[in-house]
Amino acid sequence: MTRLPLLEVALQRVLRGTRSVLGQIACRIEPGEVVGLLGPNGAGKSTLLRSLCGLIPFEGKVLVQGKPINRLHGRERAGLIAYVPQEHDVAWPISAADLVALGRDAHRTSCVAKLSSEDQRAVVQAMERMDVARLASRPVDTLSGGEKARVLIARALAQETPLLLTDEPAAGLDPLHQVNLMKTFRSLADDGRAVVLSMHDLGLAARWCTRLILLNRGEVVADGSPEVVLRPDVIAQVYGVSAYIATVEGGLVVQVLEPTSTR
Amino acid sequence: MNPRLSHRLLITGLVLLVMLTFLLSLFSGPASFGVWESLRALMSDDAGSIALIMHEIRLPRALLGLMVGFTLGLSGAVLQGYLRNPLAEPGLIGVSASASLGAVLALYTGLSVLFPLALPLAALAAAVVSVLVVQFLAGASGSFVTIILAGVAVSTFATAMTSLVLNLSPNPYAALEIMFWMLGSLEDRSFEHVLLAAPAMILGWVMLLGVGRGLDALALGRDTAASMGVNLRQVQFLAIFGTAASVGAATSVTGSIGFVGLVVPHLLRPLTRSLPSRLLLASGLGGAALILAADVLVRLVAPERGLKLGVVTAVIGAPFFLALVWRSRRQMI
Amino acid sequence: MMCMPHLLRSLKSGRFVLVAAVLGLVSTPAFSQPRRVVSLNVCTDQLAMLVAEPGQLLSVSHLAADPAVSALAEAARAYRLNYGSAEEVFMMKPDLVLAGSYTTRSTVNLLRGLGVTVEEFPPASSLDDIPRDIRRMGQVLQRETQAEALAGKFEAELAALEALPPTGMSAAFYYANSYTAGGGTLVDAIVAAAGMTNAAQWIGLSGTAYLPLESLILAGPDVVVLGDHAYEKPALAQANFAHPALADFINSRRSVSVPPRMTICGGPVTLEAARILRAVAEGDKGT
Repeated sequence: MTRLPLLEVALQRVLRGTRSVLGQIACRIEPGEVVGLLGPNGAGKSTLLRSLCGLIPFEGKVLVQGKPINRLHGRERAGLIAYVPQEHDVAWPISAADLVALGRDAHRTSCVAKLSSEDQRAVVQAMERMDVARLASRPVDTLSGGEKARVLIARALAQETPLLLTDEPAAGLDPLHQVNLMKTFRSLADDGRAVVLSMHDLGLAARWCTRLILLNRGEVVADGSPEVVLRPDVIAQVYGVSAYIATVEGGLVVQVLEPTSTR
Repeated sequence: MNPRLSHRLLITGLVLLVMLTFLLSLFSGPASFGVWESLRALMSDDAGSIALIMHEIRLPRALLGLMVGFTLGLSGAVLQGYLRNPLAEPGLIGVSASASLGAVLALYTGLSVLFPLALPLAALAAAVVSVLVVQFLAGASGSFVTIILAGVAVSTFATAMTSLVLNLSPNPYAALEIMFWMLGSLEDRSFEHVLLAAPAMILGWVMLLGVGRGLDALALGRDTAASMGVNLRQVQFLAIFGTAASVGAATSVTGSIGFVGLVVPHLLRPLTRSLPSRLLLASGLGGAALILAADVLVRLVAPERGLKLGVVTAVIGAPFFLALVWRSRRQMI
Repeated sequence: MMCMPHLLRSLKSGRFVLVAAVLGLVSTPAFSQPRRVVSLNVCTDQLAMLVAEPGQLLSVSHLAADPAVSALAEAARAYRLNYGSAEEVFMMKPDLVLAGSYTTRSTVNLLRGLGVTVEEFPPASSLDDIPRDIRRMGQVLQRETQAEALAGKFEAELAALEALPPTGMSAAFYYANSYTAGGGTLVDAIVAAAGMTNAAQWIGLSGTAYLPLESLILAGPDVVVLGDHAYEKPALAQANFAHPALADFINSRRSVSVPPRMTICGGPVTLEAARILRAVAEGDKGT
């Protein structure tokens, strides 16, 4: 088997109307990576994720397993990439189990809404991974924000794609579920998949991501391991805050301190 | 209970309900004769008056009621799923009023006399325009308020234009017929009407029933749905043209009947676990049962008055609408 | 509309009339023969056209010129047509206004308030009403001789028709919007004069009543009377005539078309309707 990268990005530009929101971005993402997309508000994280998923038009190319994303058939693409947007609105009071099962739609060919045993296994596994199995019969409108976020991620996990793109999945989760979420992503990566997530929690990023990409005003400022990207001067320049960074056993610790005067 | 079993039970129950209301519709009318006599006349080939009434008046009326009800229930469910809004309904977002306008233009100018299919086709075309206008006005987000406002605007305009066309008609009866177009009726419809409307209606159903899975995914938002492999353009095409074809054809022969597309999906949603795909067929059947029952009621309550069907559906539907508005208002706060 | 209460008050106090009289808009009430007669109702229009002296009748309603509802549409074109608004009529300076007793109520009240003499004619609901109305028209227009000749001719013709033996057949009128004429209507009297029974009456309908198609079929009259004018453009109201069930029903019996202009108002032409019905009942086949 030829060694095609899982995701190869060579974006020239992404326009919103006439305004350029993303400039040149080039990177490769391989199986086994958990990539944290960092950057201040408006840096272009969500736009990048949506471009990678082929949801918005862009100039340049995005290849998934060597195939251009915007030439893939919808179903084919859904077999390769699962995506969870930042907004967590669900239009109807669907039960958590039904919602997670929607993730299997991408794999079903018949019109009949019937779950195969394979589908059922994937649904149960995804729900257990996100610790939402006990919420299975609850309508999603009765769930707390964090519970709902986990159910929505479970939906994407049930899609069982080699690549998972999620937009600020950790926002709104309690510390335990934040850590569990990141551990889940790591275990997915260990299974040979890749996860790209945008996030603001530098501490979480430092500890759990295998790689960070720091964006600012639509440009990549830094790309590499947490140790490489998360340096006090870079953080001060991009975020305008000073930070305490230390290495402890098991990884990096980052604590944001206060605004720097440079901004 | 096993979800698949419970869904089958629901559909079976609704089919039975449709059959029951269909028979009730066949047996009610100003000319009173027994159930047994009616059934015998229905089965026979003779040319007696009862057979004539059963074959050519009651049967097409009941059939058309079933078809129009199915159309309204189904299109209501699809529009709600597609616009992700429980207030979407062919009547409220102006599809019915626009279809009426199209039909009125074709009918009162005499065009449909020369070319009968012009009637459903003009209604269909006007319905397509109205959905596109509402969608354009409401924007991609399709927020609650904007859709309703856009619907009100389109609806009011279409009704006013319908009234204008009727007023300008050289036929003195035309001016009084705004009632039919605004409230709908199955009074003395014949098989000609059934045949005229059936092709576009059935085509519309096929399109609408095909969007179920897409609507499920749309519950999670447009981006998620697209990422799940749903072809949003295809869903949009099917939802809009399916609604326009079926509602347009239905409206062109029975006038616009409100609230069915609102009430029925709302009532059945909890029984279908809120999944849009499961709601479609159920809502169509529920709509058919509701229209047939309302049409029985119209003939029972005031047989000599030619009561309009839309009056009954509005009496049932308006409280639901108010309840929905009330609930959504609380959610917005 | 804002000035309506004020206007009404003026009318009650008579001030307005005074002002109008001073301005010369109102002719003095005529005890002599009225010379400027305006008719507001399609029925009084026709009676007046038949009875009035040339030049005496100034204006008739616009409906009088509509061949769908008026038997004298041709003749009516020679007159000035009015649309029944008080202002329009008042400006014609009439010395007598003829009106139906159920139509244009507000116009009639307003005109009376302005001092105009208004004679009201109730709609004819039997054939005997017709010569009575003709004679009364003769009185108010002071054309008794002309009226007496017309009324006498009518009575003779009616008597001749009624002298014929009953046909033993039944008839039902089926109008646009599925309306029919039951007991107590002019149409009912016409059917009786034709020597037939009105099916709508014996199924219990009176006045102008809704007759669903299936009730018509079940009642099974021998003759179905379709009375409608073919308008330039279609309307749903007349869609009931195109119903296949009606076509099938009519196939097995007789049908005839009696134009509504013969039955809407009582007049000499009304007997024509009865004669048409009689001919269908006696003939082998209707039209």
